[in-house]
Amino acid sequence: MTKSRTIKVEALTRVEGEGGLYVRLDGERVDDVKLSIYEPPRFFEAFLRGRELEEVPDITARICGICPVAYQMSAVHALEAALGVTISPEIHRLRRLLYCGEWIESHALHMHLLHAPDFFGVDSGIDLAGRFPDEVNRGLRLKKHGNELLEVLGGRAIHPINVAVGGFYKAPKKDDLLRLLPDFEWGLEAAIATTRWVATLQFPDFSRAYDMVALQHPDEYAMNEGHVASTSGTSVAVEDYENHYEEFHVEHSTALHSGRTDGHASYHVGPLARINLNREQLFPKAKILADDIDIDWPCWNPFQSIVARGLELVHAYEEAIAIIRDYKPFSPPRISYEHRASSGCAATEAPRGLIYHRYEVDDAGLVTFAKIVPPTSQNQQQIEADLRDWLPRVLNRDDDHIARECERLVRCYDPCISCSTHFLKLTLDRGGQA
Amino acid sequence: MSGESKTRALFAGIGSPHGDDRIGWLVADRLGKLERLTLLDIEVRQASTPSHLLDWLDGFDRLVICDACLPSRSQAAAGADSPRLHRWTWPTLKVSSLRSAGSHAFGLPMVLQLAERLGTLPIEVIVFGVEGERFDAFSELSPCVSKSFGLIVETIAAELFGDSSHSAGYTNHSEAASHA
Repeated sequence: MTKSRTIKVEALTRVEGEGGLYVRLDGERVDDVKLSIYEPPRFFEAFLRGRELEEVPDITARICGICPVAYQMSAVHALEAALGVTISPEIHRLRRLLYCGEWIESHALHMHLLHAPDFFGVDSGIDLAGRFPDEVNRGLRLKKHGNELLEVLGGRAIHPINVAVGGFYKAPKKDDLLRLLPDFEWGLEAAIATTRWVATLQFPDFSRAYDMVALQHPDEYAMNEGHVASTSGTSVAVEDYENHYEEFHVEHSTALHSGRTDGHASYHVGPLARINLNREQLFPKAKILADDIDIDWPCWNPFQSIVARGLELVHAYEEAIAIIRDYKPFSPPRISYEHRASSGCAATEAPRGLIYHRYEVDDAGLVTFAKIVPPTSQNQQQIEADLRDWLPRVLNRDDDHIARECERLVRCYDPCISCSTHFLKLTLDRGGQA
Repeated sequence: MSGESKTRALFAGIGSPHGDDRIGWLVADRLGKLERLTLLDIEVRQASTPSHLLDWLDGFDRLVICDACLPSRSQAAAGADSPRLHRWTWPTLKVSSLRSAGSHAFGLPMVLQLAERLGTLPIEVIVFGVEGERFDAFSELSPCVSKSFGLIVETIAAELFGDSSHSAGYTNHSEAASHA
């Protein structure tokens, strides 16, 4: 008679937000894996209806304290598509600079304090700080740089308020940006050192046949614009996104899952997808580093996503420095537009992966429909699929060890589950086994 | 060394725009309007996640924090007139009962512990926890917290100004520090 067991992770730690994990095992067979998540953006979609479209960037920024820029960027580009607004090259560059700030802040935090502890057998960033104080201090300095850039460009580090439909409310002063340069030049070298450090970690051998999806742009490492490309070879216009990728409800989660429209097949979004698809467009130092470290690209091992984050950290510093050096204050900071009944969509690259927004507005400028598909929603199904394949490798261990291994895999995705709470519950079901 | 020692203090209000979780921001906003803060070299900041504190700690001797927390079961059952303000002196295990709203898995106790481990934590750390009962997206303060707002600001201002004559309207958990 086979023994069955259930493993519950009551609180997934070092992930962004709240969720739970339930695993049911029947002997050596994985019977069921459920990643349960409560996700605020669904609520925000309804909340946006009836609001003036100019409010959308500031409201959606409040969805997340870690990646507000991702929500703002996706919102303004979608609304500009609806209104027929073409932004100037200056606004385009400044928006990339803003996104660089968010990538720096988010990647530095995740790499040093949330993900790296997994590779040293310690429970938290605090324990890691005891063993690697210089590396953790370095990570915190990098994180601070990201926040400082958001503060200069966004008006404040927390929930930036300077992003407007059509551009920015106010263009930054050259001197305010130049003041950041010495720190950013130090940060670039520190980011390279960080990436070299994480590239030498011991990674489990867990390469998978992923369908990785990310924006792709002919002229730049995609952040705010491009086609939705995949490692399986598809490339679709953002306007066509919903014909190829769709959300669907699963019983065990209040958050919608995402899959390919053709059979709901899972796919993977995030830095690893971006590096695999767009590596040739990294800035020079990041590109050289990618070629130099001991990883074969494309990389299909989710545990090595920490290295992909490192490369993007380097890229973000390089691009930020380049934009700051070339920056000239410009006018107008915002392109004017007329309200009209229309709809528009956009996809951008949040630190955790592709994020998609679609809005419908009326001729009074009020939002009549909003759809927001965050990266974690898209990754949920892939995380569950990964766990099904990962579990057989750790099943001969005790429940606590299995739970830790499951959490470890989940953290590779840097899931941003909720901005208002942060508990993840894991249930491991071994049936009637005592 | 200067013979004149001046203590620099940082006040950080942690919050979000969601119901009673906004209390930290509101207190910071009110405190920031007090001229006396400037005279005493007290800096006021608003944070949406505790991890933001890590960016600001350099050069401060005192850190005073205000964050929302979940009510205890007994107090939740007792209704709106129960004491709603707690005061902890770091280090204390009781701080872990603070609500972690918006912390993104990097809660206030972890941030304080990390800063301590890295040697960046100010010598004195006081945490005020305001019991909330409403955390819905974009909701206003609950009537109970709203009613107590003036008292909360007065109490925290008194802490910052070192005004020992102020009649404390909080539950003091500093005793817990002795065995934490």
